Amino acid sequence: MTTFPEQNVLPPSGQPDCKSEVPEEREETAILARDLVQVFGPKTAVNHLNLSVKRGEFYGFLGPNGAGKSTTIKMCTGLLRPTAGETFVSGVNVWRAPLKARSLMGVLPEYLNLYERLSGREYLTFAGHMYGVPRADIQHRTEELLDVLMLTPDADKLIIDYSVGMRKKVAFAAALLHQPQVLFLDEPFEGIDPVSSRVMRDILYDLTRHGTAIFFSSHIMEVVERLCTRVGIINQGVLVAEGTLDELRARASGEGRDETLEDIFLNVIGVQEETHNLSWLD
Amino acid sequence: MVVHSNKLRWLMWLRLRLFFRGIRRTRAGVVVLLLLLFFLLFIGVGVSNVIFTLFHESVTVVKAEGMYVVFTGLLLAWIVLPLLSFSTNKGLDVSKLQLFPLTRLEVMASLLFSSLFGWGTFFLVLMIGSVSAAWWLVSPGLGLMTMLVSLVFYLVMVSISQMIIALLMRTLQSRRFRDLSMIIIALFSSSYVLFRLLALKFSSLLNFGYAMQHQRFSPYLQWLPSGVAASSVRYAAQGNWGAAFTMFGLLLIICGVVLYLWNLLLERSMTASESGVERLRRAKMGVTIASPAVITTLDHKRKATTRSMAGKEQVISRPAITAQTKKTANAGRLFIFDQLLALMQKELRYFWREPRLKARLFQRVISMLILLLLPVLNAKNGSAGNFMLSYLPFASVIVVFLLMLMFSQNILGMEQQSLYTLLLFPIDRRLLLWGKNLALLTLGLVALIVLLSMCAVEGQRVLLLPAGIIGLAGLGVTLGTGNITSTFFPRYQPKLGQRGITAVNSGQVQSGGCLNALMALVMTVTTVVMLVPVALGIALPFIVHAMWIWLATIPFSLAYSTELYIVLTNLAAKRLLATEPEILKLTTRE
Repeated sequence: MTTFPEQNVLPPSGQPDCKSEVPEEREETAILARDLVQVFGPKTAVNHLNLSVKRGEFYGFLGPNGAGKSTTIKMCTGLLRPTAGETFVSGVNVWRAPLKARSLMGVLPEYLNLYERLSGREYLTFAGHMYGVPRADIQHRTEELLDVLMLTPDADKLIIDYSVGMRKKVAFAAALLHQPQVLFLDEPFEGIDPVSSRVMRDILYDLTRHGTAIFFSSHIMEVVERLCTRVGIINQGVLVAEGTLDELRARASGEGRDETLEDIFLNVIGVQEETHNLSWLD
Repeated sequence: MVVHSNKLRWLMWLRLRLFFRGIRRTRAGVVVLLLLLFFLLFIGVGVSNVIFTLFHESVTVVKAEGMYVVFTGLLLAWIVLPLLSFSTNKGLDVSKLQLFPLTRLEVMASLLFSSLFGWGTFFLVLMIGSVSAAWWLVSPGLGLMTMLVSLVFYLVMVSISQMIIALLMRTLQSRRFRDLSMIIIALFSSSYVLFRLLALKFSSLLNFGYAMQHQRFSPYLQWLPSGVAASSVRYAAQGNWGAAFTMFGLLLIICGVVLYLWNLLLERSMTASESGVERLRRAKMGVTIASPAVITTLDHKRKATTRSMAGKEQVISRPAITAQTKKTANAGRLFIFDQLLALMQKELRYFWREPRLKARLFQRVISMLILLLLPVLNAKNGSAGNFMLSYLPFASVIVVFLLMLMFSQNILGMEQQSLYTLLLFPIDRRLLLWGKNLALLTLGLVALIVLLSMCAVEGQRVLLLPAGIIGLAGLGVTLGTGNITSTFFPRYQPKLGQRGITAVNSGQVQSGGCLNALMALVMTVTTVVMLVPVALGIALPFIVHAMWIWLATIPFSLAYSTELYIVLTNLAAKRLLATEPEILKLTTRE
């Protein structure tokens, strides 16, 4: 496994000049997981996982289904107690000072679990109060987020009547309403329309420029490739590869090919390039 | 339209599999199911025995009239109950089968199977069996005729029921209807006493026995499909077999017509799953996506939003949260008030908007009314009634206490999946519990004030003050112990409509186990014990006949309950913070 301290900011489309704006001071660690283990009965879901994400970094966390991505995020956010190991957010131990740690983070979990009987606007206002954002700021930010994410026309409808994408957008807005130092996003673009997806990507990119670290789990390789400054690949609970995209590519190009992230991913998790033809299709 | 026997076989297999798979899902589920089966069998045998005896001991005219009432009752039940249970009975929703290339007849057959493997059929078979047995004892031919007619009538009944479901599919699939049906079911189940009173009143008003003997129902009911079926049995009982078979033929024609109409409506319902609002929304979205100008506008808005969130003076090297943390610290107490208010508002909104909570609230209100109305009604029945009436204010307090007990003992479990979201917020856990308790306190106070006002109207004013104090102190103690129970013995709260058999089938039986439920019961008893000092403080003046003692005991009661609430809530808050993942594991399902 390779770890790379240097970062290579890959801007989203249409923003080629972002690298020059990346500051030098953001060396401090935003997320630190130390020797994390999670055992469910006979299965070790996460096996001695170590990772660190720096401020302003866009960290992509990849892995096949059941690899331990969501479990890791839950342990990092204090929703699941690790069997062993520690997690820190901006230097705060998530398990020793959970409230302080949570005030520093925004979370978009895999299962959204929103208050479905509140309207979108009510939910964001509620979340703002829970994060201790001043009342005036809550109103202002709520309206802006609803507007930018195209939720204003449906802002007073109950969340239970929202589509999957709309729910995700509301949860996304709530996660960044208090402008967290660290954002944990579990599959944020699933079910999102292309326009909103673009807006969300750009917001995330802007946040990293303002120092927010983003821990991002997704199956959509193109998005990870475009946004993430560093990528970690987890398989069967073990972090099997980590590094910037260029470094991962360089490692893979030893075989003389211009590898895409998908190729790297398949290679790292040990999937053979076989053609799986269905016999009955012949 | 073709019907493939192979597909029918697999559709039958699917329904059977789903039925039995649900039962076998957990060991606890099997135990609960066996208990329920025993209970249902007990009830079923009792009901069929009563029907058989009534039919057997009646004269033929009354028996025949009884057929009209029984068949029409079944028809009404078969129409109304599936409508109310549509949101919980997945077998009634055809949308899953739409994925497969099934003909309408095959879908219809699947729906028939799903209604066949239901608990309603169990009672139906018992009822029809009892009636047929009673006719069999008159003459075996009549027994056979009743069974034959019942079989066709069952088909008619299910077809009519399904036809109405198909007709109302769009409404049934709407969230508002689902909410409403949950509340109606809850109200039905809790209003047994009221319904019984109404039924008795209605029965005496109609003079049911007299009406049966003089065949007052059949002239009206004979025009319904159930009436046609009953007429067939009646003619057979009169020995007029020609008329009996004519009516049976008419029933078969009705069956054919209903099946045809169902077939037509099913097609419509299968394409009605997407509501008009949803289509409009999607259309609106389509326009948005198509417009490049929107993207540019959004880009500007997004930049402005991020800038505004970051703050103009934001320096990259400084964590964004620092400025906000400073602001938060400066604002101090104002935030606490805002957070409490936000939590309380959320809770109260949920009590009104969440059908599960609203239904429970309504159930309790009905129980409260029944509990309070009974002494008032019994007041006319001599000294015992008068004694009950004189202590009505204390009865009111007990009613409010029970209401609070129900809602306060599992406040975290009642959050269900949303607890994940709630616990992600960095709010002080004491504030979190206070906010939830404030909402409950508001409900309790409203109930207390309304009930004590009713007592005042009834003329029971002497005990209002002590009852009010007991009520207030009791609320404090109940909420405090509720916080302890909620954090030390949290339980999974199954969804409304997923209790009993449906809960077993869906594997939603409380996984906290019997121990947790037992501990909750122990905590309820503890709450009552903790209330003893308050009750003693109020009762002491009565015991020693010195009312001035209240001057000391009333402030003591209030101070005791406040202190107890603070101590218990602080303890609960610490526990909550220390064991959040474990509480989540017990109270949620992902």
